[in-house]
Amino acid sequence: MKRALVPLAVLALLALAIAAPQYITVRYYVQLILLAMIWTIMAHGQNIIQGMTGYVSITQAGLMGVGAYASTLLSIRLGWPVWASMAIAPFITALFSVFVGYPSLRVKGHYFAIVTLAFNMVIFIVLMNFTSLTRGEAGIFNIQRPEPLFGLVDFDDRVAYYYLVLTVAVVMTALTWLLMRSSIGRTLRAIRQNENLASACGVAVWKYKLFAFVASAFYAGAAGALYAHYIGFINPETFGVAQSLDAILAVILGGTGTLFGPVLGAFAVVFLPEYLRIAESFRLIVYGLLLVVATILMPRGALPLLGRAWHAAARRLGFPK
Amino acid sequence: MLEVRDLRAGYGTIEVLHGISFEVKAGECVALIGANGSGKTSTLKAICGLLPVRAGSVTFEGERIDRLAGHVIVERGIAMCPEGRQVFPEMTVVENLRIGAYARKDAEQESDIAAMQDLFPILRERAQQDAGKLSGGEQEMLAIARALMARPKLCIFDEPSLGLAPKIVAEVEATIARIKARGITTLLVEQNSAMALRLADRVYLYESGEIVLTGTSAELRDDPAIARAYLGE
Repeated sequence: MKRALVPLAVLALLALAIAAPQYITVRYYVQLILLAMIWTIMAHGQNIIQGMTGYVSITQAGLMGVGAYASTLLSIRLGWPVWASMAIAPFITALFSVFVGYPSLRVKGHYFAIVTLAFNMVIFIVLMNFTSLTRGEAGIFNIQRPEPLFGLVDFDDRVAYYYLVLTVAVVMTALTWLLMRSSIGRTLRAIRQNENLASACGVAVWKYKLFAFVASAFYAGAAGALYAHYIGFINPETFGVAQSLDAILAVILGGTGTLFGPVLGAFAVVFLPEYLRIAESFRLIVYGLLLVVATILMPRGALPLLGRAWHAAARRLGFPK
Repeated sequence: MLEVRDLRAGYGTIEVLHGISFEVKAGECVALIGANGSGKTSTLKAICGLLPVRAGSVTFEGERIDRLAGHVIVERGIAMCPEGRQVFPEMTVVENLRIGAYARKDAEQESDIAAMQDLFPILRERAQQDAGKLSGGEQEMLAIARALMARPKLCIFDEPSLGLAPKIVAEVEATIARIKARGITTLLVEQNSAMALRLADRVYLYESGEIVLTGTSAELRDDPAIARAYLGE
């Protein structure tokens, strides 16, 4: 894509997202877009550790659960204002991930994936069995939406909450953009490409890897808090390994290491299963098949493919490069 | 400048270095030569903090460095150019050079990039290309330039001629000669002993984890018995 066109495309997308609740009359679709935006935040986090640093973590949904439960319990059990609970939840999740990341980042490659997978299972088991705190499988009901803003904006209204999520998603996307352009982002990419060489260049590799993991947890925590206070009900089911795999898929499908790939991927993993409901009991089979085919045909994700298609189209139409 | 004393190290239960001792004086070019698997690269890894030292000591400028982490050793002024033409393949040539100066805090990095491009004109021609798309010889030049970007006091080269065409090997040799001429202290590990003997001031010969022979390059070159027994001539 032509460099100058990228900001234009981004603005157009943003305008579309802002206008969406006004022209989409089916509330169900507004809800799907809202969920996809929460997934976008989570996928951005996954992209930092998986796409930029090259370490596949299988615990993003578990960390999202930490954020969701932290915010919920702070507001319900301790009676904190919902705003404060939601704001502090990402930090609690990040702190939590320091203790996990420190030991698990001592191992490399597939071992790291396995350690984080086990960690997701541990979170799941604790949420299931620590019933005095989490109410186990039955879950927690009646989670409040945030208090009205200046007495004007009422977040019990779905559309108001939609704009809250949109704002957070845009801010988190901007943060990711800044990170990618920073020297930290460059160092993370260096670690992905050649960890030993990075270390030979004087990079304290484990510090950067821990940073990437904690940053990804921060995103997951924010997504978790937004999710809990939107749906109003949480139980451990939402935060299992299967959802962590969805986060990985979102990154792979959209475009590993790119800024907008995870956005595209997040919408895909939210919308595809919904659309495939027409296939009824074959739904998961068709979904699985689609994923396999997509991975074979687009090993680097959909976004780079779209970019190439754009190039080819521009050439054919005779636009100068 | 660098002094290694009775160094022992290994992998798992197997010890591969059985008490290595050698030194590199300031301004010198020292070569470690020997067959595959004789422990040359392991020695380098131990110096750079990538392989734990089990016994003995590594001293750099009068201070022990054998318990330090790898990135701290780089900050002390030792740069390593690992074997196999290691670059960051999806970064441009300039980005690769910039990351070589990672441990530096001064403001002269940009002018050093220009200086490297003067030393290796090909790196100017290909400045914005991904390093992964360079040829083997060009990648080796980039790897050497990247190591120099750290402005090291001691520059370590691990098998710089490995897997390169003879013509490129000659180019690499000329490059290292130029680096030596600039007064940068170098430690060179080579299987290509003819090249090592031409470049180095002094040579240590490895055999199964021990140093069996040492001397100036001239001494080793001129001794026909040694040449026959160890250098394959």
